[in-house]
This record gives sequence, structure tokens and C-alpha cells, in this order.
Amino acid sequence: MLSKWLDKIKHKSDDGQPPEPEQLSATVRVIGDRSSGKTTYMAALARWPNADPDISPVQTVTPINTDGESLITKAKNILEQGERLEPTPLNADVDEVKDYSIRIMLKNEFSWHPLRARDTSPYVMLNISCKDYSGEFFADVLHRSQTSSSLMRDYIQDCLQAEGIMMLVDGLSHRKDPQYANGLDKLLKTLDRQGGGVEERRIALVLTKCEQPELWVNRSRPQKLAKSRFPQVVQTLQTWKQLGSGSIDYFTSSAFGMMGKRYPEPNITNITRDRGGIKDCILKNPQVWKPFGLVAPIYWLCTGERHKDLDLE
Amino acid sequence: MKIHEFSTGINFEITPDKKWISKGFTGDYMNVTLKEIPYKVERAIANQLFAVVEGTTSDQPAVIGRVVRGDIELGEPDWSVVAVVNRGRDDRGRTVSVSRFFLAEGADSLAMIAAWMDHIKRKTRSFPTFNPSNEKRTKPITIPSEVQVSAIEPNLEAKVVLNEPKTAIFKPDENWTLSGINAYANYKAETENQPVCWAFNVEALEKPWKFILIQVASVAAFTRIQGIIANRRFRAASNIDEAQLQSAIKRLMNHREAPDAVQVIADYLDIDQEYWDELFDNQGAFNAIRQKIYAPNYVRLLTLRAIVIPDTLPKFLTWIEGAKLSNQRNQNIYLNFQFSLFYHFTTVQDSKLKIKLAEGIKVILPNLIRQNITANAVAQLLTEESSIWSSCLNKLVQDIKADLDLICQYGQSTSEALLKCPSEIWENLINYWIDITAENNPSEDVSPENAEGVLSENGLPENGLSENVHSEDGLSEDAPSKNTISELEIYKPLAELFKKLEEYKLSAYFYQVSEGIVPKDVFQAAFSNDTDARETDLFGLLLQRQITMDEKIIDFLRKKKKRIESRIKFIFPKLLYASILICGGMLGGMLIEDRYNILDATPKQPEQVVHHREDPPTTPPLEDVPDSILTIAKDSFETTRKSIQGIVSDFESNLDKQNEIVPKISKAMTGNEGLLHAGVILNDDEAKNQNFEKERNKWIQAIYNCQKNQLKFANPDGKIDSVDGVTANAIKLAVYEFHETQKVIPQLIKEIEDKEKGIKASDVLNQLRTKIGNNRLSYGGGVIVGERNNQTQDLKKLQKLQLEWVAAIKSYQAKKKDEDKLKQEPNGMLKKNDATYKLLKQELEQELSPS
Repeated sequence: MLSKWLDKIKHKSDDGQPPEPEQLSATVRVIGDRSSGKTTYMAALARWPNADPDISPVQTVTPINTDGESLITKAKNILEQGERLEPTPLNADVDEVKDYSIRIMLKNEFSWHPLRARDTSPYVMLNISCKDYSGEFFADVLHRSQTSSSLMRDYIQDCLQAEGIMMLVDGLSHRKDPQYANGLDKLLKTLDRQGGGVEERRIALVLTKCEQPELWVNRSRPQKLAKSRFPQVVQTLQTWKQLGSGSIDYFTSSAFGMMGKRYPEPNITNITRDRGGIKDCILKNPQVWKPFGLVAPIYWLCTGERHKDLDLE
Repeated sequence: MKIHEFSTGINFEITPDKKWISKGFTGDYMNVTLKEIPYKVERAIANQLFAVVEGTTSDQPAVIGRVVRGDIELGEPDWSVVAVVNRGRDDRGRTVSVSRFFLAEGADSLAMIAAWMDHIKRKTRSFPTFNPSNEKRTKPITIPSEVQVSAIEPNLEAKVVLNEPKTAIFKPDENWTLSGINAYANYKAETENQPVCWAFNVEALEKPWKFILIQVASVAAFTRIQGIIANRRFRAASNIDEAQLQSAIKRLMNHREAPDAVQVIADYLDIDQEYWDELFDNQGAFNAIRQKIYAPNYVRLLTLRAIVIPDTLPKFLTWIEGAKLSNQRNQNIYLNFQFSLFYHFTTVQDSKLKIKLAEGIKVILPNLIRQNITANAVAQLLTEESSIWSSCLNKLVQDIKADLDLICQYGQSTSEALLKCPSEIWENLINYWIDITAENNPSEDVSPENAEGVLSENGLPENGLSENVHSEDGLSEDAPSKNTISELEIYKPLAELFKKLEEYKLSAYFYQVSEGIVPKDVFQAAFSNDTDARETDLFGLLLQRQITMDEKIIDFLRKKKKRIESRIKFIFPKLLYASILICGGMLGGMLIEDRYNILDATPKQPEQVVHHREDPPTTPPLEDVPDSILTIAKDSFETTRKSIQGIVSDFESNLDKQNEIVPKISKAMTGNEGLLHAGVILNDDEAKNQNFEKERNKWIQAIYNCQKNQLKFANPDGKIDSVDGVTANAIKLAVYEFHETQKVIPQLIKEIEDKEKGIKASDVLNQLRTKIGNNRLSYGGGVIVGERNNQTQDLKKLQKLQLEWVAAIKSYQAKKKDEDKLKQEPNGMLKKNDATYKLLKQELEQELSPS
């Protein structure tokens, strides 16, 4: 009886219509070293392969604009064909950089709650507009001496408008920790000096390629993993946070994910290992392609809160 | 001829096996042999006109050739550009696509570059490709003398493909040379008058629809490209810098300070809507509306789209309402964005912007009356301080008034072409115009008696006791029939809109049209001069104010005042006495005072319903004519005299009877029949009379005063220059007693309509027009009913339309006299119950009677 009554009132507003889903939005800039997996991250997110909305809190992921749609094409025509994405060119005009608009529909964490159900939609919408800067911006432009160049100025201006910065770091590139910390420090200071833009910024440090065994085992402890592998980067972020400039959080992700449930193994084929100790890999089996940890940082960038189910995904 | 070049800028290292490896893009070009890369060439690259799709380059380079048009006005030459796109590797093991561009000045140079590249290929078995170690190259390539452009004519089979008005696609064939491709493309380009552009050995292009000839690298590519092109418009010749526009839109979406982006948008405001649609949809406009995506960047994008593509404004208004509800922040974003846009737009192309904004408002009106959008949303759009559309408010009000004025003048004959607002919104008003005006203009029937409410014995108003008292539900019994009402109810949103916009007159007008009555608050706000007013005219429509229960009671009390007053006089001392006894001094005193005040509140003047129809002009004492005007008027008096003679003879050809006309003219101008001397006008010898000067000056004074006070001339001159001028026509109409005709016609229509059940007023009017021989006679706009604009220009037009009635009546009378049906002399007049009136009524009833 009670459950029937709950069902009756659940998801219904006074006029009998289900309430409109809450909409959360964020403008995000994805930064990181060359080949840290930024575009692959975005392509895997937009493609959202082998979706399982019954189990996953993520119901759908849909591109909104043509740039977003182009990610799906890339995922299908390149990643699923066992190829790697080409490096994103460093565009001299930051407005010509692709701006991926994507809508993610999530199950509402609180929609089950009888006290909140009446005026709560079963879903939450995340609308993100996300520019994936060429790795050269982070690896090269930030370190150039002429920081007043128009390219640098435009990128910084563009970055200032973003509420969220997602810094992607290849989990295995820990040798570059000092270099990354230096780049990040420079970026944060430049943004701070420039002023304006959004009042409070969120920075998500996302370790990518966490399908790699040494990262996989610690994937549920992102902060610990980040601290142990990239102590200087974490220190830079902590300092920035302490200055009251915004908030930070840590995430682990894999664009390619794992295969198998009982004895999971990375869904990748290693193809090269360069001098920097960076493993490069391609998707092994597109049929079972299931990335993980891609939506959790976005939810946090939109809300400032962690989503338990997404963290466990 | 020299060929310049430049390449994708990369950091690189050369491996021991002499291959290059990219260490990242520099964001610039390298190996540049020109001082500066031509702007238009850079823009063509930014527009992806040389771009192949990522992941589709093969070991064999793709080659893309294109003539890039310069700008003659800026002295920028055309450039022939060939890009060779090939792939290499980067230090992370990834494939990198890089381009090497060759370019030479002039549109004719493409053939030479192609011939030179073929020459290199013959020598080295490869086209010249990307080679970063040419870093030090700073000089252009000199073409060896043995390289010559040879004439290549497409064969018949190829011509069939080339002659089709779309991109020509050719399958892979080893025999192709760049010279051959270029010659074929050239053939097609000349036929279609387009710049040459071709692609060679490509798997997939970013924008294949922007090529006139593509030679594909594989059969799969042939099918793929063909499929893409089939769904796209062929736009090889487009000179719109799409990338620049996209960037401008993105920049504004992301709210970067962007006066330059606004300039770009302003520059392209004229391009066709289809193009804009595509640009906005590329940024997600379509999905944002459909999926109700209320993110701040979409608030900006869709606001911008609603400005640039006025057709999208109605949907936008619905969407933005949702966006505001979804997040209060969106309201601020929406307004702040408009404010900053407006600021920047006003510094660039203000006039084009104004046109776009005004178009948007016009698009909104049909949607408003169809209730697709709410009056509230439109009102906010037009009044919010930061709203970019608020600048359209005055124009909208002016346009609406102009249209209503036009409809008032021409009624069902209103020409759509002259309407300023979309004609569809006035369709019902025009169709039912006669019904609305005739039935809603009971004319002289309105009298204090029947306008008042009557109370029954129990003191409550009886239902339907008066034709002009409206029931509380807002519908007049005198209002148009139910069918008409349902067609006219669509105007209620306009009434609500103008109420919100505080344009109370328009609001009152549309309440009258849609509900048959005007709410009291709106009426009083619109016509604040007299708070007791219950009716007034506006654009040919009698607006009737809702009468409240209180007023009905007061009306009743007024009517019964004497009786009540006498009763009060009898009751009052007793009441006072009783009150003092029962309630005590103060309380009793207050009660008596209140009770007495109700009765005493009735006006002291004789009771009447204040009726604001224009009264016949009252004549103030004649003013003296200023000397300067008098002098000129005296000099022109002979002309004036001839003009007045013309008026007189127009009315009465019998010379003997012309004397009788002058008193009428005198009365029309001075209010006094005998003031003006007839001889001064009619007698050519009068000038010799000693009183002539005095009498003439009286005429001048009368004309001057008539012009100044009655006709409201800005510069009265005391002259009548022609028999067709405004002054002359005013005299004519007065002589023809047109004010009588004006009263009588609506009465005639109403009488017939009341008698013949099922006949509409519009039918009667149309039959009347036919009967008196002019189907184009105008009815509203002050011609017969309504009010006119005060402009002199309109007055002249109005007079002309009124004189058409006079002429029609006169010719009807003449015709009937000939037929012996009328004994009355033709006089162009229609008076209540005169012979013409009776005959006309009888004939109309016969015509309209169902039997």
C-alpha cells in the first residue's frame, strides 16, 4: 500500500507532469601534456560505447553541436578501427578550437527519496561545453618566454571564461611531475594575474589511462594515487586552493577501460614505448569497449560534489 | 614565374634514417618564402578548404588546388594555391597530417603550379611533399624553363560528368596528372563561372561540397564523398568566411569581450537565412531548443540567433521562459548579453540591426494572437531595460496605429500592401470590420436614457434592461454575434500586451474588438481626461467602458433622484433623530453623513452619459487677421472669390438661387448666417461699392479664422486658392451638410439590419454602396464613422472620400429623379426621413429582403 502510494506521488508535480530535470552546466577547458589522452577522453565520452543505462547512473550521452558530433565520428572511424587519434593542431585562433558541447543525462541520486521525490525529476542533466586545447599549449606555449604573445593572451582569455579546468595527466608519465607542476603553476598564476572571468574555478586533476595495471589497482583512491605519482602537481593545486582561488579534486579514468569481469584486463594493445616511459596503446576490442571514470569529473565540475555511483563506475 | 611556399609549423628531429619526427606543432607556419602569407589564403585554410579528414591520409599524398580570390578594392591579388597533405609520425608514435602549400600570384597560375608538380613527379617519382629540413628556405621556387602548360581538353565522356551542376567526382586512375585534373576543373569552372578548385587522390575531405572536381583515392571514397555531397548544397563559389563567422558566434557564446565578433556578425547580417540557420545549428541551436538545454552559452547563442534570424524569435521566447525558470542566473545572462551586444552593435551596423529587430517583432505578432507566446513574454521583451528589442516599442506602436487607421479608412477594402504589420494578424479584424463598427456604433441612438442602468423594485439592476449596459461578464448584448466574437477573441492577447506596455488606448481598442467592452481601469487610463466618460471613438470604433455595479446603482439613483431626495427630506430628520438616540452622537452622525454622501455624490449638472464623439465645432469670436497676412490675402482676394464662386455653382447651378448658398457658407465659417455679404462674391461689380473693402475683409477674416480654428492650419492665410483645397472642401462639406449625412447613414444601416433578420451590417453597407453607384466608398476613418488623424494631409484625403459620398448621393438623386421616383432636387444630402432617405431605405429593404 505504502509503496503504491509512494509510486503515485513519485516523480509527479502538482499538475501531474513529471518535473523538468534539473540542469547543471559547466564550461570546461581540458589541458594537459601532448598525448595525455585529452581528445581520446572526449571521443570516448561522446561515443559512450556499450552503454548500460540499467546499471550505470549515466543514462545517455549526446553531442549537442557539430564539434561534439565529430567526436563520435573520430571514435568510430579511428579508435574503433584500432588507430590512434592524430595530435590536435595548435590553432592560432582559440575561437577556431573545437568546442565540444555534450549533454549527459544521469539518474538523479535523490530521486528515490520519498520526501524529495514529489518535486524531483528522476534525472539530472549535465550540459558541458568543453574545449580540448592542443597539448602544445600546456607543453610548449606556457613555457615560452614571450607570454604576451597574442596566441597566449587569447588562450588565457578563453580559459578565464571556464568554470572548470580538467587537467589530464597520463598516469604513467609521473617522471614529468616537476614539468607538469611548473606548467600548471604558470597557468594558474597567469589566470590569477589576468583576473576577471568566473569567480570560483574548479580544477579536476584526472589521471588517464588507468586501465594500466599499476594504476587500475588504486583507481578508487584517486587522491592517494595522484599524491604518490604527481606530488608536485598536487602540491601546486593545494597551494592554489589554499589561496582561496577555487576548489580541486582528483579522479581516475580510462578511455579504453577493461575487458572481462572476473579477471579484468586492459582493453588495449600496446604499440610503442618511448623514451619518456610513456606507453602508447590502441583499443583492442571495440565490441566490449567500456571506458570508466569519464563522467565523474564532469559531474564534480558542474556541481562541486562527488557522485558516489559515478565514482564506483 | 615564381612559386612561393610555406608549411605546417612543427618542432621536429631528423632520425638517423633521414626521416623527420614531429615534436609538436608550433602554431605557426614554417619554411615561408613570402614576407607575409596572404590574408585570404590564410582564411581559406582556416575555412578548411585545403583540409582532408583526420585519419584518411595515406602514404601517397593528397593534393588540393584552389584559386583563392583576392580583394580588388583592397588591391589584394588572386592567388593560386596547391596544398600537398601527407602524413608523418610524432615522437609519441602518432600519425601527424602536415601540409606543404605552394602558391603563385594570379588565378591563371594554378595550371603552371600543377605542371611544375607533374614535372617534379616525373623526375623524382613523387610530388614535392612536406619537408621540414627545408627550414632555411627563404626564396621562392623558380620554375625551370622546360615546364610548360599544355592544353588539355576533356573528352566527351568526361564532359558529361563535368557539365552536371554539382561536384564532379572521378574514380582513381593512374593516368591522372595534376595538369589534367586542373584542366578539367578549369573547363567546369569556366562553364559555371566559379573559381577553380580541385582535389586529387583524397579519401575524405572536410568540405567536399566546396570543390568543383574531386579525384578520389579509392572506390570507397567515391561512394562516401558522393553520399556527403548529395545532402549538401553545392557552394564552391561562396565567398563567405564561414570560419570567421563560426568563430564570432563561438566567441559571443563564450562571452568573451568581443566587439570584433559583433562587427563580423554585423557585416554578414544580410546573408541568406539558410546559411545562418546552418551556422547556428552547427553550434547546437536546434538541439538546444528541442532538448531544452538551458546552459548559459546557449542563452547567448539563441539570443544572438533570435536577433540575426528574426523568424526564430517566437520559439526563442518560449525557450527563454523555460531557461529563466530553470535557473534564475539565466535571466541575468540573457539581459547582460543583450546589453553588451546592443552596445557593440550600435557602434557598427545600427540600421541593419534595427531592421532585424523590427522584423522579429513583426514575426511575434501572429504568434501572439495564435497564443503560441504569452503577452507577458512579449511585454518583457519590449520593456526590459536591457532588452535589445526595447528599441522597437515606439515603432511597433506607431505601426499598429497606422494599420488601424488604414483599416478604419478602408475597412474591407484595405490593401494588404499598405499594412505595416503582417496582414495575417488583421485578417479577422478586416473581415468583420463592418460588423464591428456598424453594430458597435449605435450612433445617435445613444442617449442618456437608454445608457443608464435601471434598477428593479428590489434595488438590483435588471438583466438586459438597457442596450448599452454591459453585463459583468464583459459582453455587450449589442456586441457582434457569437461567431464574430470567436473570430475576434484572438485580439485579446494584443489587448493584454498593450495594457502591459501601458499603451492603454491600443489596449482599450483591442479589448473592445475582442471582448466587446473595455475594462474600466484600461478605459480610464487611456482616456484620463474625464473619469466619467463611458464611450469614446478610436480608429473608427466606439469604445465602450465596462460599467460597474456601483455605477449602475448611481445611475439608478440619478434617475430616481428627485423621488429619493424627497423621501430623504422626509426621512432624514427622523433618521437623524433615531440615530442620535440609538447610536450616540459621533457614530450616528457618521452614518448619516455616509448615507447622505451617496446621494449627494451625484453630479450637480444635468445627468447625461458623457459622449465623446466629436461635437460640431463651436465658433469662437473671430480673431483679427495679422496685417502681413491680410495684405497678401487682399491681393489674392480675386482668386479666393473665384474659388468660392466655384463652390457655390457646384452646389447650385441656378444663378438666381446662388444667393441662398452664401448664408450657408457664412454659417459654416463664422457660425452666423448673415455675417458675410453675398454680393462681394457673386456680384462682379461689388468692388465699386463703398463697403466692399469692409465686407471683403470680413470674408478674409472668416476664412482665416476657419483655417486656424476649425481646420487647425499651422499657417492660416485667409485665402482660398482653389476649389479643391482643404478650405474649399471644408466649405463644400458644410454646405452639403455632410455632418447630417454622416449621422444618417449608420442609422439607415442599422434600421435595415434590425428589420431584416440575418442580414449583416456589412451586407447592408455594400448594398448601399452599390445602390448609390460607388462600390469603393469609404466608411470608417472618420469618413462616416470613427476619428481622423489630425494631419492636414489626411484631412485632405478624408474630405475627398467624404465628397465621394456627396457625389454618389447626388448622382443617385439625379438618377431617381429621371426615373420619376424622386421629386426632390439632387442636393447630395441625406437627411433623416427625407424623400431620398425613404426611397433609399425602401430600395435597400427590397434588395436585401430574403423573399
